[in-house]
Amino acid sequence: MANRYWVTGGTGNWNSTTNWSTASGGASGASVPGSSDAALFDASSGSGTATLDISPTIQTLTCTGFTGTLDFTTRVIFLNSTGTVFVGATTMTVAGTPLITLTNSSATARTITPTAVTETNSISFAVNAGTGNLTTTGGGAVRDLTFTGFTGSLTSTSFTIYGNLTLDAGMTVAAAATLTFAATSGTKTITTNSVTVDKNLTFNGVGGTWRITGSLTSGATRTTTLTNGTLNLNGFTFSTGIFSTSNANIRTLDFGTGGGIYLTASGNNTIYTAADSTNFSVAGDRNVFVTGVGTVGNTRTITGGQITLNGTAANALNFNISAGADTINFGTANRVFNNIQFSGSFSGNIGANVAPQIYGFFSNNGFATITGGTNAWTFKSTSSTNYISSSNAINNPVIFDGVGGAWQIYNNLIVNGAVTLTNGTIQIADGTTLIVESFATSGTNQKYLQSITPGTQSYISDASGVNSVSYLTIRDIIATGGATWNAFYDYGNINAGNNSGWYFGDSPTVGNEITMRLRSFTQPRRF
Amino acid sequence: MIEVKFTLSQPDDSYKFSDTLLLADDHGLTDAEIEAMKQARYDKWYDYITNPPPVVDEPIVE
Repeated sequence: MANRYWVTGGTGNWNSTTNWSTASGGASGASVPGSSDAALFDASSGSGTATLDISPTIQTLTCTGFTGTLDFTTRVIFLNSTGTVFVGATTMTVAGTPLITLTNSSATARTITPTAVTETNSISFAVNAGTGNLTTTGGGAVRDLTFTGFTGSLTSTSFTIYGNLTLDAGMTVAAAATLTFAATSGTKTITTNSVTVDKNLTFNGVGGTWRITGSLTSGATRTTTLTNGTLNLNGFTFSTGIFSTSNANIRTLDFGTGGGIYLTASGNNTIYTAADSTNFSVAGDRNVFVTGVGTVGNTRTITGGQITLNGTAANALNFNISAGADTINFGTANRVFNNIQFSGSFSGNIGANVAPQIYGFFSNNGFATITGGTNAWTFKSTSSTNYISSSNAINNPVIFDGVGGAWQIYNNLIVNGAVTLTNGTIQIADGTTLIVESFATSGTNQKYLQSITPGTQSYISDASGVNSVSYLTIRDIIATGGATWNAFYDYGNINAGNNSGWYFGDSPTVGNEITMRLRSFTQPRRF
Repeated sequence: MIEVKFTLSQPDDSYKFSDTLLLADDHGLTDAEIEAMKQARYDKWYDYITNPPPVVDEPIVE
């Protein structure tokens, strides 16, 4: 292999002997580097522009110290060797459509060191053959990274991709390090061909969009972080250990239709956090499947957006926890969730004193023991009818507070805490019972307590005490259990029919006043 | 290139997996072979997330 150094001080074409030398800074006139040669650009190559007027095939390309410009135009540099085949430089500039293709088909390892170049100066790499390792080193950055016909392994330190990533179905990706996607414009694609990418994944490009074109799978110990930009799951399945997007940057998580995120981490981990949901948007199905097999004694924390940090119905996700025997912690601060569902083989518990703000449904039939506490669970739907179905008692206070919202309570539900209806409609399934520690209403908006089917009764039960409600329209509800149930008309309550166990008369205050007036009217006059 | 999008799941509809096969225009595969490829993809994914392999970060040679 012969070395050929770029020595022109100004602009010149690749395919010209006037620009090449056999020594760094040496005399020009050497042959243009060919398929048996190494091309080198260095500090003695000047700051001019080297223009590719052909698509050369060389063994290796080294640019260390080069301060000029490599203009690819629409040409491609083919590197046919093994070992370290490319070394870039942060001091150089690239122009055109920069593409380097690695063509060696042997099992011998290859290394590229792209260095930490900017997005503008990044170069695309295509690996078209080979069965050995391809290593990227130096924490560098590339534009597109494309593997086709490559059946080796991508081994790398952490590095950055500004463009598209395409993997060959026959290759592997070594488990290690972080892969950062950092495009700042356009839509970049990630095509894994079902190859597992067992790395931490970071999406961090202001204005960037990344769309997966099939499933994307990383490992149970890996964290995916959405820092800036839009991650479009495009309706496909995305598996990762942990998902984190807690910051104030503009970012979007677009699920598309039919896919979802699988969170596979176990152990003591915050497996999802959008605690700071400022500028966080969500689109599509928003389904998150929690499938890590947590063990007894461990806690997985799911941190929805805190209401005080812009957690809203619009960026709340659905969580289906279907495996593990550990504790699921939804946090004690008011954090938003859409649906919460326990299913599958989950046999653990919900952490103590959590205070979820639930915009969708809650389903937990025989799966999670609810530890309970003094913090209230709040159901906050403001539009559609959602349901609550839990054969496991909720051992917390519960608040229903969604103007225009409705909640259907399936099956018998035990709430070992105060139930407060502030806004919306509670519908108790026909013939079933909502068992409470106390029941009250709040505010002057009209609220509704009823069975699901008009004309068919259901029950609300409290063992003792006095439950007085206001601004409540009651239909088909039998109040029972031993407590006193007051729904005085003068408190804005409406008897919509088919109720029993309620006292709908005037409140004692009004009653006493009427009695006094009657006595005054009937007293004999004294003359 | 032909994109074959598919979704497979467990019989109880859990562990739903949505992916796509990318096939050459002249792939020459039978429907049965394509279905087998889908199932292989699903089985690989299901096994990976339900029985995660031990974590061994591979050393990187600088």
